[in-house]
Formats: sequence, structure tokens, C-alpha cells
Amino acid sequence: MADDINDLTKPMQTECIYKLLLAEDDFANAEYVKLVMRHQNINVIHAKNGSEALDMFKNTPLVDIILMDIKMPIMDGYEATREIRKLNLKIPVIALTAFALDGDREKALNAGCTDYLTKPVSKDILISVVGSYLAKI
Amino acid sequence: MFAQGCRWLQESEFKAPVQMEREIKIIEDFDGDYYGILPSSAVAGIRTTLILRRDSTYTLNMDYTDNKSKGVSEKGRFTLSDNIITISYNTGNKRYFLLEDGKVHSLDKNKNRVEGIYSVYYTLIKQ
Repeated sequence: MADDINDLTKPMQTECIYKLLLAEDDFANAEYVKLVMRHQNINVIHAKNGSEALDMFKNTPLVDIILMDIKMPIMDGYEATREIRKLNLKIPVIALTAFALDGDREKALNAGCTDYLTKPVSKDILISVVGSYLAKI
Repeated sequence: MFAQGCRWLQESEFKAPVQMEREIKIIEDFDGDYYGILPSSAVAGIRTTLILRRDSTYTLNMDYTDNKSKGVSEKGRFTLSDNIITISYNTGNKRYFLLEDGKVHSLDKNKNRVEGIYSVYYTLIKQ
């Protein structure tokens, strides 16, 4: 095996695992994000729509950060974020969407998102933005 | 950057590696490179390559077809039982694939085929 890739199935040298709630209905994008986050020792819990994300947030202790897709079935990312903000004003919620239209950023921020990224998001930007918010915890 | 403030585990605290030999049901010719482009709402797709080896190690590569976003890779060990490949990550998460006739199908966290209009494309073909 290539030596420049960490073995992600070996026990970690640290017990410091952050917990990220990923709301994403797109399977491939979700797997990509999970793969990127695993390299950062981040445990990803995955919800397939906004309603599931809201339930997971209510029932999962110690979620550190949320990546929120916007266009999802059942409950979209805007509504899910508004509901989560009724419960928690501090947790970083980063909107993650394929939409890149004018006004989307403002709409996400108005819904309560902390930040906004456009898909396909580069690995380095994703790590940088998520890391910057986790560093503040 | 995420390790700041973390307590380093003592060697005795490590979880013992999973003993995989007893779990592996040998399937002829399962080892090899499996490739596919997973459909994505963000771009045309995500090029995905899963390399399975007989020593129960794997490498997984994913990169967006737009060639702008950097790819990402991981490696590790898997178990194979009843044609289901299980990757147990050190974060506590697991990932599953179903091995079948020169293909691997992505499974969800409940070991079911991934549902949705693109589900037929969530299959990697042996090269």
C-alpha cells in the first residue's frame, strides 16, 4: 500500500474525535465528505434529509459542527437549520449546496447558517473551513 | 489542526486489532481494482476506485470529475463475510460493499443497496 496514506482502520493515537452531523441526500457527495473528514479524525453521522438531521441533532449528544446540504427531500436545509437554531444558537452550521445563484448565500445565512460552501467543494477548503470552526470550540 | 488539546492514548488503551482471518469467506478472484463514476448532484460524478487485496487490505480513491477539486484516498483493512465487505473505521463508523460477480455495490449503513434514482450507478466494475 502507498505509505503516504494513513490507515484509517488502525486504532488512533488520540481519543480526540470531533462529531460532525452531515445532512446530505446525495450518496456520492456524502461518501466524499466522510472520506475527507475521516482523515481529520472526525466522526461523521449522516442524515439523508433535513428532518432526519433534526432528529439526529436532538438525539445525538455532543455534535460539534453541522454540514447542511440545502436541496433535500422532506425538509430542506433552510428549514432544518431554522429548527436547529431554535434548539442551539452556537453550533456552527455550514451550508453545502450545489446552487451558486445570487442570494443563496444570504438566504442560508438568514436561515441561521454560519457559513456557506458551494459544491463541489475542494478538499482543502472543506478541511480549512471545518477546521477553523472546530478550533474555536 | 484538530488534535490540539487531545489526550494521547496509552498503548494499553488501544483496541485490539480485529481478528479477520476467521471471518473471511474466501471468494475466488475477489481481489483487484474496481472502478466507477458515482453520480453526484455537484458535478458529473465522482471517480471512485476500490482496490481489494487478498491480504484483506484495501485502498479507496475518490475524486470529482471536474478535475478542480483534489482527490482523496484512504487505505486500511476490511473483513469479508457472506460477500459483504466491511470497513471498520477508527472513528467508529463502518462502510459496507456487496461483492458480486466482478462488481462491488455500495451499501448503506444498514447493509441495504443504496436507494434513489441513481442507485444503479453505485456499482464499481472490476477492471
